Amino acid sequence: MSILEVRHLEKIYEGKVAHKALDNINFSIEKGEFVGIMGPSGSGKTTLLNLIATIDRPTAGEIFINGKNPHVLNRKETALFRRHELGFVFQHFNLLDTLTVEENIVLPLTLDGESVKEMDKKLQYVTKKLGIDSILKKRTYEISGGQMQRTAIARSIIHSPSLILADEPTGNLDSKASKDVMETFTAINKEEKATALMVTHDPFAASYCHRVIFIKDGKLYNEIYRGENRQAFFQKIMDMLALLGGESRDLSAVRL
Amino acid sequence: MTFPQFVYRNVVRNKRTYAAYFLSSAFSVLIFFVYALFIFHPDIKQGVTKTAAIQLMTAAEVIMYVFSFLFVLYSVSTFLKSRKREFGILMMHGMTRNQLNLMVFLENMLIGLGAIVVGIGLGVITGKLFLMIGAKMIGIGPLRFYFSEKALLLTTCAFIILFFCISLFTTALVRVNKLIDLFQAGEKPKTEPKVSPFLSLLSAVLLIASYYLSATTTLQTLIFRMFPVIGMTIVGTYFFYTQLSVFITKLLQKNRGLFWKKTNIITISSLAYRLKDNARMFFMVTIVSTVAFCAVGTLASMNVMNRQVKQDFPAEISYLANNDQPVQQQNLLQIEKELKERKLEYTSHQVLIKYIAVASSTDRFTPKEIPVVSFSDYKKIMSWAGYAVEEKRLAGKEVLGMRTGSFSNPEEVTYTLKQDHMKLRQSKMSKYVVLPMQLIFSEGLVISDELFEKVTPERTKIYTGFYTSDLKKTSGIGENLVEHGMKYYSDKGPYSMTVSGTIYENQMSMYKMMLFVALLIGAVFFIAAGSFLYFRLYADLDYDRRHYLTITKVGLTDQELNKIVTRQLSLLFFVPILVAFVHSVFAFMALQSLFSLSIAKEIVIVLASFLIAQFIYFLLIRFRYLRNLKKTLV
Repeated sequence: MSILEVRHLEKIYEGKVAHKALDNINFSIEKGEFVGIMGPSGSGKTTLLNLIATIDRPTAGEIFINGKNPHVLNRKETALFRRHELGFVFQHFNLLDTLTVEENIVLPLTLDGESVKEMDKKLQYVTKKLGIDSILKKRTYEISGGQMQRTAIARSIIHSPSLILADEPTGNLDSKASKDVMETFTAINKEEKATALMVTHDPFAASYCHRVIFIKDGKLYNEIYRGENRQAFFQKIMDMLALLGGESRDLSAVRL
Repeated sequence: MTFPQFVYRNVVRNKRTYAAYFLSSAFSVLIFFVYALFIFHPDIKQGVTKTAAIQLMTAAEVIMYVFSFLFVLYSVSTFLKSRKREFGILMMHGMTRNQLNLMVFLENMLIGLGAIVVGIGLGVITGKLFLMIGAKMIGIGPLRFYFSEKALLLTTCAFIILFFCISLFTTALVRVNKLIDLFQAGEKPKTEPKVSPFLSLLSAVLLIASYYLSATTTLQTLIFRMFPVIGMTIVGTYFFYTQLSVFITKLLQKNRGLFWKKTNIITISSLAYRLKDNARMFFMVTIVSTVAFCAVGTLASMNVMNRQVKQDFPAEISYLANNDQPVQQQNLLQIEKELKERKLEYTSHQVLIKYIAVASSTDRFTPKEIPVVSFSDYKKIMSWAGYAVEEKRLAGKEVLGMRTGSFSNPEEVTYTLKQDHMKLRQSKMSKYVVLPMQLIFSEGLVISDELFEKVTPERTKIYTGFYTSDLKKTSGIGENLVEHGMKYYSDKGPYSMTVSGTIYENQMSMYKMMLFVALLIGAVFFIAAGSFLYFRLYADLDYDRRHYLTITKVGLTDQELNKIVTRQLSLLFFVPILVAFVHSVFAFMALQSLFSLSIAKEIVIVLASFLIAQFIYFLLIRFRYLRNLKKTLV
């Protein structure tokens, strides 16, 4: 059964010159899959993610998450849909500075009015798994970038959403922290059977995915599967990026 | 963490952002409570000045309340605007619209209730002090501390209603159109500020016109000009900040010799953005400060009014009665007795005043009769009061208008007397007050000695003046003869009389009371203006940090950073204050038309004290701001 299904998705930005950011996108993600989306700058990756994340509305086409189309829901239902079905990880972490690490993590449960006991139980489980159980009482400005991103991941999975959406999760991290974060993703994907969709520039981060979808000029360009060898997969992604011929910085991010 | 805990932490951990707003609200509550203590104090329920005091303070309560309402409304809406990104994150995690409203409502109520508790708490602690100062100023004996439940109840209810209504309003202010806009708020590069040359010109024209109008105001035009000028100034000020100031900085940027010189490039380039971003805040601070300056300044200049007592009443005690009245001797004896009892050295003089019948005059109201004194008597009256007579001796039918108050304006009037249809043309007026208005209650003339001999009066009166060196000591003399120091002339009454000391004391106590009220309200306004500035600064702190971080990476010494920051902060702190100063100075120019003595000294003192207060505030904030900034820069 597919968790995410995208059909004939189209997004046009109105303006002095209308710009077609996405053009007839079709794909689906199965339960437990970990999918990456890559493409040159301006290819429409982030637009696609925003549409799936329900923070922007498509011009045409449909999106089904767990069999439901969030864009036909009213405001309150949309909010509840996000709360229950989706988890978010951002490039800029987007943690609330006024809250401690643990408070940030339980935020989705707080909004849902869950009991403190239940929240504590889930918090312990998730933070042990992510290796951040020692910094729970700290404030966001006291921890490192990698720890912040792992906090954000903990927040995105604590309510067991159907789909985790990640927007350049390694974009603000150094190579060591990137590796930690991607291994965390792989672990929760494997052990929790969490489904995740990640937009990235970074071929190293993308090499952790099961499958990478390439977009160019708002259209699906190609997709490649990982198979057994991550090293070989990384090379294939590099080749594909070279073929796509995006901007040079897509290629400069070589880290091994 | 439950939802209420979440709300609580949102507020408590943001205390730096809310500090100034909180303190300012608490201060408003405190002052409101102090007034309420006065109003409900059982010991100030009687007496004339005391009734006035209660009325005045009730008015002050209303002003305070309306102002607090606007202040809280504006502050809360600015807070909300700066939290767009935070709201975006919360909405992403599935916060419903209702939850967001509830959160904002609870946060506001939390701060509001906190401010009420702190304000009233401070009021209870400092209440005795305020009662002492207030009692002294109103001129009544020391008031005991009386904790009035009514005052407590009034303050609590009033402010709970206030915060409740505003919390309800503001939830409607959180407009969440598209999540994506919320989310990207603050991350978008700022667009270049745009200005309209037309509106810039309009602003300049409006300001110059209203300054010109207020500078040339006279007593007659004051009332007609006041409201249009206020309106013009407000609109002009708004466009001054949103348009004209940006327009000027753009002109500055074109001058490369200036713009590309050292740190000027950083200061001036952010100037345009800062002015435009902060235009509304600058506007609010300017208007609020202007109101505060004008209120305190106007009251301070009332001090001059008391000096005017000496001018308006040349004799410390003046008494006028018909020549044949038996009470006259009796009253004069009483006054002399009282003066002696007080061991006051005095001189007393008498002057004959003739009332002559008038047939017609060129004035709008022709008096039936007009009092006249001879020129020699006029000279005597002047010298007793300590003035030198500069006018030339009158001869023949020459007359001089008798000044009866500082405000009298010389008018050209021709009186035709019944006696021989003699025409007397008054073209000039005496320089100083000859007889107080209260005494004769009409125009009067000084005529030449020859003429004075010739005219046959309808009746004659005797003016008696008692002169002492200290007018304050005459307070309370003849209490049974005059009320509040003045007994007006009337057809029925046998005599009219003024006592300067009593008049002075009454004016002084009224004035002190008003000053007490105005000072407190002025302080509330001034502190509110300061809290706008404070909030603006901390809302921009994150952006500024990034900004300065970029600049320091290019290579900027600590001194240079201090210089840039100091300049930008002083801009934020002193531009609105200076504009408010200019506004107030022109307002005081208009006010001057009400007084015959100069009020410049009082105004300079008031403005200087405000400037000093602002400067101290500036130093304090600059120190904290730099420390905060450098913590991240290393």
